[in-house]
Amino acid sequence: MTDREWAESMRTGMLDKPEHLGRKIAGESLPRNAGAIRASLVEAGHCQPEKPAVILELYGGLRIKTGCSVLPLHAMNIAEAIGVLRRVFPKADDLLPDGKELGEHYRFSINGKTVTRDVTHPLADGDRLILFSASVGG
Amino acid sequence: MQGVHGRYWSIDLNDGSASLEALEPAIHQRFLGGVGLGCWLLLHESTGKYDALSPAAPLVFAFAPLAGTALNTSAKAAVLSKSPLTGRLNDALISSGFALSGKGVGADAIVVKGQCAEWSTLFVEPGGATLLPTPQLLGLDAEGAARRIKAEWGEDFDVVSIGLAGENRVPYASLTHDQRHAGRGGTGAVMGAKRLKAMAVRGRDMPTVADPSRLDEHRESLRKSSLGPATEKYRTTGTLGNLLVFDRIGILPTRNFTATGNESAHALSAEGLFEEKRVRRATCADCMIGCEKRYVAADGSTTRLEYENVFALGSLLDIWDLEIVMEASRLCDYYGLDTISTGGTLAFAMECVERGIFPEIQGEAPPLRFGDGAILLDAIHKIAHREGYGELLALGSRELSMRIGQGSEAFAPHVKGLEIPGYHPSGLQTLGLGLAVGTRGADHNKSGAYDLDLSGTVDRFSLDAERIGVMVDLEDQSAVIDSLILCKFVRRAIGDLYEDGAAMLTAIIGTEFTAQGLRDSARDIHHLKKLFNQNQGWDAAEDTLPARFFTNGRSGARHGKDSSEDSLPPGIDPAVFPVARAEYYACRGWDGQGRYEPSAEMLEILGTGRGSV
Repeated sequence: MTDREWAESMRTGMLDKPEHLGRKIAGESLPRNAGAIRASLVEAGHCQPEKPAVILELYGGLRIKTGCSVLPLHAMNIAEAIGVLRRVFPKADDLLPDGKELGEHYRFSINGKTVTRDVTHPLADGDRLILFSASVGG
Repeated sequence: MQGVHGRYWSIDLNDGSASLEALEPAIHQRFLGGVGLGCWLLLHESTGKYDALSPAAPLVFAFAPLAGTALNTSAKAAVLSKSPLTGRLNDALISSGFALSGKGVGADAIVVKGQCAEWSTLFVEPGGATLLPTPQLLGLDAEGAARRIKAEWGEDFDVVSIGLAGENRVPYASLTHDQRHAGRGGTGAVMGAKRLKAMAVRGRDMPTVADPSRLDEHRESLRKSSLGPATEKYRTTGTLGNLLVFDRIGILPTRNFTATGNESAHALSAEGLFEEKRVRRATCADCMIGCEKRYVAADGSTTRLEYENVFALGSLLDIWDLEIVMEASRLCDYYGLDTISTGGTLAFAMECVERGIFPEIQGEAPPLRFGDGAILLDAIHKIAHREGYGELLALGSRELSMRIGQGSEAFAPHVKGLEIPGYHPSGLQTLGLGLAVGTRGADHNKSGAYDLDLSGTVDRFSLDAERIGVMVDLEDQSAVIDSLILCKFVRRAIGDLYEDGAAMLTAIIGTEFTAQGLRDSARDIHHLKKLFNQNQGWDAAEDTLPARFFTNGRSGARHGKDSSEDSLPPGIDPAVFPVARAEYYACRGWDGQGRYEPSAEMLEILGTGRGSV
């Protein structure tokens, strides 16, 4: 692996997934503790973390307006998930929080359990995000 | 004092006599109107413990300061009585034209006592009240009766009326106006016990507003804010928008609260209906939100879509066929039955049949089975007519469980006799406590603690004493909203309910209302509710939930849609619950047993406050 390739792998955070490294080099081998190395490099700010694959579930007016019930996406946290949603459905802007905060009118449930309006809430691979109105009465 | 009339009609059905009684300004200043005023009137007009269906039992229609001002969502009135289902306070709301015409008869309330000699209709106008025998209306549904009254006596009457269930005194019979209902707690049976099929009101004798230009500012502000994101759900899908979300977050009750959620939930969802374009929108008078959605059947007929109807007659009974659920809802409206109590009682009965403990009727158990839509429709007919096993179902789940015994009280889904609405208390444990201590019983519109459970600031699967202050404040806000009156669907559209509410009242009535004054009013209104219940025999043992909802009371729990995961939320910790309840009592200023000791000043204001006009 060349220095450039190493640097690229650090940037993309794919060190522990050799199939993503592209060109194979004869005799190539990764450190045995590649995952831990990457985690420490992420922590030190030397490479970007891999973004978890999550599924965003849409309900109510948002689902009706977009015609979409689930949106698979990659996001580190709720703010990024909202950002993706806004890019995919720009015409649904009026039904969405701005991503900087959820405010009084929106809530997220992670996997149907935890309820939060903290947009920095970290996400994990396989999480299902349920975006719903805070107005639950009636 | 402007903005209110300062008097109420007192009508005796025994002889049809009516008199206008004065209301001192202090009553409005302290109890506002609507539910607050109604509580005061109910206490003022009753003495000691009484039978909810006795002729002397007062039935109070209390109007509100905001009604008639065109403030968005303000066309609402309160209907109060002792509930024949719970034996406790029943403070209901009813919407639209009746609230405006009622206030237009030149009074802030109409109090009806006594019993008609024969089935009659009461007409109230600014000039007085007239009681007319109307036996020809017997057996008609509430809407049919209203149409006949308007056709015969004047289209400009606004009518509240009862259906067959009210005539037959089913203790969860509703009162209807313009396809909207004072649904819960059996107000329809109270009317029926008085042989009063309907009351028609007509009038434009509205009080003047003290500061019209200031009120205009509030009107415009509320108009703008109530068309924003705070009401988006209600405008778009209506309350049925709850269903799919509740399914996903594990609080949609199914099979008499033994499970939550189901893979078929989409079949009952608002989202599914909109996909099929089978929804029509409607609004109450003086409302721009339009939460009302009507399901359009294949034949073009429409039925009101509400989350609670679909929950109670659908998911709770494990019925996922929307056509059946809508037909059941239409039948409940036709007969004048509260859908939540109908569904809750049926769910309880179905579980009893499943367990083999339901009483046999003519040698066999009734064919009540979860998931059987045809049986559901047949059962509703039987309840309204009180025939066959319908006579037992017409008792409601609490009374029925007392008849059945054999431990069935552990899963009879009620608080104080009022069936639990569509929010699984184990997954919303602050609301669970709110339902338990509710003066009306299990009423989600009085507690509102689901707002806290789903705020992201507390663990909804547990309970603690620290959150009780916020829970009490939410309950207080409901009391103020119910007394101004505004629709609760604008609660998130109002910046500061107490500040804004006080400013609105000041603009309307002309005397100064303050935010702190409204907070004090909310507390006092709760004191009145508790005092009424104490007079009727309330005991702290009532302030609880069925054993099913506690961790040590589980039985018959089922697995939901994912067999690898128990779909039922963890139960409420029975050791924590009394601690949290004690904190609730303390926050309310009640003693350790939850009793309110009225001050001499409160007793005086209950005993006085009116004179002859």
